[in-house]
Amino acid sequence: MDFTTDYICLELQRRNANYLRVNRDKFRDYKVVFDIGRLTLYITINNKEYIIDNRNLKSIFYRAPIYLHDTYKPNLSVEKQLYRSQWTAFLRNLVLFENAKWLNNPVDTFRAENKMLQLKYAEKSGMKCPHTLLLNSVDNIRLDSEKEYIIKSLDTVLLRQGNKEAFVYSTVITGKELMKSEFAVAPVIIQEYLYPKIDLRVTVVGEKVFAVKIVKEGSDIAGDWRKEKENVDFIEIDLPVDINKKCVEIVKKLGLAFGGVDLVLNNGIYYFIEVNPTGEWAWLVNKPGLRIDRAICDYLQGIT
Amino acid sequence: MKKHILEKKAFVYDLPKTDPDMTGYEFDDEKGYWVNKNSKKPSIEDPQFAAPRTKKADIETGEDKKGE
Repeated sequence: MDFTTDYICLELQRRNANYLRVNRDKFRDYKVVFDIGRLTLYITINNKEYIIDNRNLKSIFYRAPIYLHDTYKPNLSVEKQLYRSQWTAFLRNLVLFENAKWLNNPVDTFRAENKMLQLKYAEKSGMKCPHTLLLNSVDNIRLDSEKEYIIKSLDTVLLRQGNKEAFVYSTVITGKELMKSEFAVAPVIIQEYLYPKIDLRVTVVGEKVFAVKIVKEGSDIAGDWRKEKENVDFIEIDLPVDINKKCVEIVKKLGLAFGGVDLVLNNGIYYFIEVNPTGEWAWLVNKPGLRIDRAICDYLQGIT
Repeated sequence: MKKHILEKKAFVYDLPKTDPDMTGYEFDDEKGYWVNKNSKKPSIEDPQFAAPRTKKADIETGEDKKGE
């Protein structure tokens, strides 16, 4: 269930906009015909027909996943496997609506989800990035055994272990432990550990920027802040103008209209960590200065 | 055999419940959002409805599931 889209629909309704939510959980209840020659999509919901054609469709707010992490879901029924894979492909094929304004186009999201490409573009935009290596062996690199590093996965790691699930956060690790560790099975990211640090989430919607710092009891957080998520506060901040601009530029360079940019402020210097093209924001909208829902609707409606 | 570093560092937890309990709410196809069955008000503006207005109500992996 995607409640984040509820915010968008509610705001569009209040604006008397003409919109249709295609709810991925409800395809079984829909009657769908996509006429490719006419570039027109017909969807019947509760006996009401909605017609979406290429000439009149202005914009698409796309929230479906780009990657399905089904390898950790061994118990899916055949029907569910079919539903998930084929409807996901159906939604991807909405890229046929090439004249529409997308937030975000899944083809661009697919490309932008590559963390190493993000770092390249961030550096090109003039942002500082932590020194980063992608590797499956530390035999040929120089590590300081006493120094701390960050280790993280290249893509989301969700593992099924019996009745348990496992998730990999960004983890602080010493050079000594790294030297003794096993890597060969899968590549990992080793990054310079920036500390002390303040974690920042910068949500970019078109040209608009919403920045918060993430703190625990008013202080910075060692390691991955998500481990502390029960106790963190999101505090609105104003970023320096040049950092604002660079965040907008990185998101744009990746072909995106929306991006949740993670930054770290270390000793007065802003470092780029990553962009989440499908980043979440619903937990921020209750703060008056963080009406990301309204910014997204503005973008979709062409209001600048 | 030694465990891969990511497996060794992974945070293990009980399988999350995939869907929140929506008893008392229904999805309004026309409006495109969940509403309280009685008041017909949007669930996201209902103080009784917790998920996922806060990061705290988010499931473990949060946005890493990319909307799955």
